[in-house]
Amino acid sequence: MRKIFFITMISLLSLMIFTSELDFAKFLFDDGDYYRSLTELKRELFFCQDTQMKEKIVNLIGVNYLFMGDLKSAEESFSKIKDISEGYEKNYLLTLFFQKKFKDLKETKITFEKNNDFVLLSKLFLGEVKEKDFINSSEELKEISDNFFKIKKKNPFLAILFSTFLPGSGRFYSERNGDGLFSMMTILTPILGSIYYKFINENKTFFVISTSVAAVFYLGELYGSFNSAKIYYEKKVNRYFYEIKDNYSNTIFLPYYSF
Amino acid sequence: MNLLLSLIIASTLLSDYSYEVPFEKGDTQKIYYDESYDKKLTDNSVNIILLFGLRFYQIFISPSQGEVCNFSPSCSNYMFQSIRKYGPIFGFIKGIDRLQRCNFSVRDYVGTFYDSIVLIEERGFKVIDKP
Repeated sequence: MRKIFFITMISLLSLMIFTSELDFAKFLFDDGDYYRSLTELKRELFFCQDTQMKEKIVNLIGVNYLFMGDLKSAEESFSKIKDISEGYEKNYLLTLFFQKKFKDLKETKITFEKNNDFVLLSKLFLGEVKEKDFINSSEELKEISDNFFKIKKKNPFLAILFSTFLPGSGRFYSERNGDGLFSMMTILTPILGSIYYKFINENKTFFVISTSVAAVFYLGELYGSFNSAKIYYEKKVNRYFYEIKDNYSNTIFLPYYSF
Repeated sequence: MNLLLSLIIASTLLSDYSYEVPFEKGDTQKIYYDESYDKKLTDNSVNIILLFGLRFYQIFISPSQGEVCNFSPSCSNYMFQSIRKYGPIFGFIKGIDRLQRCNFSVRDYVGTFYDSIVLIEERGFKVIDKP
């Protein structure tokens, strides 16, 4: 009798740890084991019959995919429930933003007004917005927009102009100081060599070799300064995108979920 | 000319023949069998001269230097692929630009101007920069 009593007590205690349906999934989620919490949630979804609970589980599945980095699957799961509540719509717009689908984000119909911030952000990265449009927005958005507008485009033809007179200065113009220094060295040393072989130690062959090397590197420097100025804005914006994704991960870019 | 010849012979004698392929493994297959490259470009005599010179450098001179390039594909492979893709003149200029970018400050630009840095077997950490 005592054995049976203790066995029943232990089994009841073990059941009490995970009384709610999603407690085990929450435990795995908090532990960072998103794959197993996903399988647990899918199992719960299969047996669930309450519609509100189903929506909650689908949202949690999407959030798990989000944290795992599988943005396509997250988008699929959020797209089923995006019209139901503000939080679910926010999650759907978040996945579009993280995938850099700015045009799709701009064109989606937004039912809840608070999620218009994402449309503004997408327009910011598409270059269709000015500083005036962020006056009435939240402080975080204002910060993001202010720092975004500080990034300015570089003129590639100006860079070529700089490089024609001083090789390497075109790359300094597009903030690639190490590249500019190195290209300056690769051009100036054969020029000095050609001067030496022309005026000091007269040697035609080495003079021709050094001038041809200088000319070849000069052509490469012109193209390099043009290209570096051309890609400057795109690369800086891309870098800024990942910076705000990290810096605002607990505020704007925190997905909505509850167990 | 005698100096040049003696330098080339010395580099061949000092070069390490332990590599099966002196450049990146599998790269030749991608170059020769990549359908995106226009096959007509190889009929150009200037192309053939440049690519032959590059291969000569890769087989006889490059092994003596060891792993000095910061990028993947390496600078010689980059020039090879850009000549095949863009033609002799523009491809050669792109290759020269790559030589000027291959310097001590490359890793400072990872995350902004270069996307990723990857660990490659038998070569070390290399910055990805495709033509």
